[in-house]
Amino acid sequence: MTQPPEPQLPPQSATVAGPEAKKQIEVRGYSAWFGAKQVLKDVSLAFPGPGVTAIIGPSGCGKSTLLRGINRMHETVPGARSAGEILFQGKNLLDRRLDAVQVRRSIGMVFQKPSPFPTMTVRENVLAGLRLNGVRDQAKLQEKLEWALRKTNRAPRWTPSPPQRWRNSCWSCSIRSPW
Amino acid sequence: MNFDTASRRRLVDQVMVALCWAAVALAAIPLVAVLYYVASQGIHRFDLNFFTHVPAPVGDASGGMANSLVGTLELVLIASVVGIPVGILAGIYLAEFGKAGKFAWAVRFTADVLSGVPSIVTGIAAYTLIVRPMHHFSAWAGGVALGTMMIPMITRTTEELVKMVPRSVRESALALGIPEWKTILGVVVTTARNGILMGVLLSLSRIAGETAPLLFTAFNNNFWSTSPNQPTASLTVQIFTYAISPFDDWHDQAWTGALTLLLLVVGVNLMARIFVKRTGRAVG
Repeated sequence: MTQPPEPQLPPQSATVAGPEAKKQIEVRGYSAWFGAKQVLKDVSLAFPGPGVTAIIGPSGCGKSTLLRGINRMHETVPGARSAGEILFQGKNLLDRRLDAVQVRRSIGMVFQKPSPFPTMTVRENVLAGLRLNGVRDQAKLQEKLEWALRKTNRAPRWTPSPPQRWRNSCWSCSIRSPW
Repeated sequence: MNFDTASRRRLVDQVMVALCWAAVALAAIPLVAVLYYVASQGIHRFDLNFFTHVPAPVGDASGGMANSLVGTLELVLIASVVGIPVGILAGIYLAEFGKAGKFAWAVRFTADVLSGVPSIVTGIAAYTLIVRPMHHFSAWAGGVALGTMMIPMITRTTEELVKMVPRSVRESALALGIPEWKTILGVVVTTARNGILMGVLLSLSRIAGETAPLLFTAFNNNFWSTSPNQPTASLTVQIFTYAISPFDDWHDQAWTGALTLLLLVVGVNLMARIFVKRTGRAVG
């Protein structure tokens, strides 16, 4: 659990964008701990963009921990800490002075396992990010909802299957940020 | 394979199941007996008169417990205002912020002790802290005494139910850039709301049936009084007063009061269950 055999991924392993693409997110010497246990040791890699980057590895090697580090979700685990730098738009996301909530608003995350909010309807789920962040404009909410549902090719009334639930959370994540 | 053993096992199995059934029957007998007896004794005076009139002197059969019913509702209302917000917020604190800290341990311990304190002790405390300084009995004192009893019950149920909300739900909300306080109130507590509500209703039905803490706080009142500054009648204290009196008429009314209280408690319990069923199960 301490160290995956190949922590340093080739920077552009599965990137659609060309090699000249700008580095969108750069991880420098990132280490992460759960309590006293170090699970990531000095990871450095760059995500060029715009594009898609895949991180591949056996289960338990720290892929999710790395991703969770990028939008500051790692620190929500009790006893967890991290070190290093993650640069995004010229700022170090790990900087304590940066508000983690602001970081998460601009860097979304979709979990491997969908976890819709159980007491909310599909509409409320998709719009949760907007509404709980204080968007009250009904017209705008409706517009975003329709956009998200169209993206998933869904009629307004449907019961989502698990993969649909997952896509659903993808869209709820991507419409999180209207600014 | 030993077939004798198999048949012995079946026999043991049947005996055990029979014992379980017997235990259920034994547990149900007192329950059914109480319900039946209260209903059969209370039904005589269970009429409109009982619910629209205040107590009358002995010999005058037109008396009722209207003021006690209103008084009980008033006391429960004051208790709710005291107990529900404090209980729920304390429960959220324990589940979300306190966790394993020393202070949280102390709060938890206090809540457990408080829920084990005999209710008459709570009554004495309210008497000393509220009735003495105010120089007279009042619904405030009674309501606060009952509310104090609600706090530990609601705190612990809220804590347990909030803790039951899966981590993934919390993380989904945090990952959307929702601030922690909104995540807790808007997502975590909302997910646990049915269970919390059920805990609140159950604690309500428990305190509605309390007598001891009211004896020297709200005291009793034979007249109409809706002012919380005045001594206030309650079904339980009125039942107590009538039941220890030497008059048959009052005894009958005490039974009817008991029946009313019973229906009230059954009603609240049913409401809790139906509500939880109807809004679907989230957590709890």
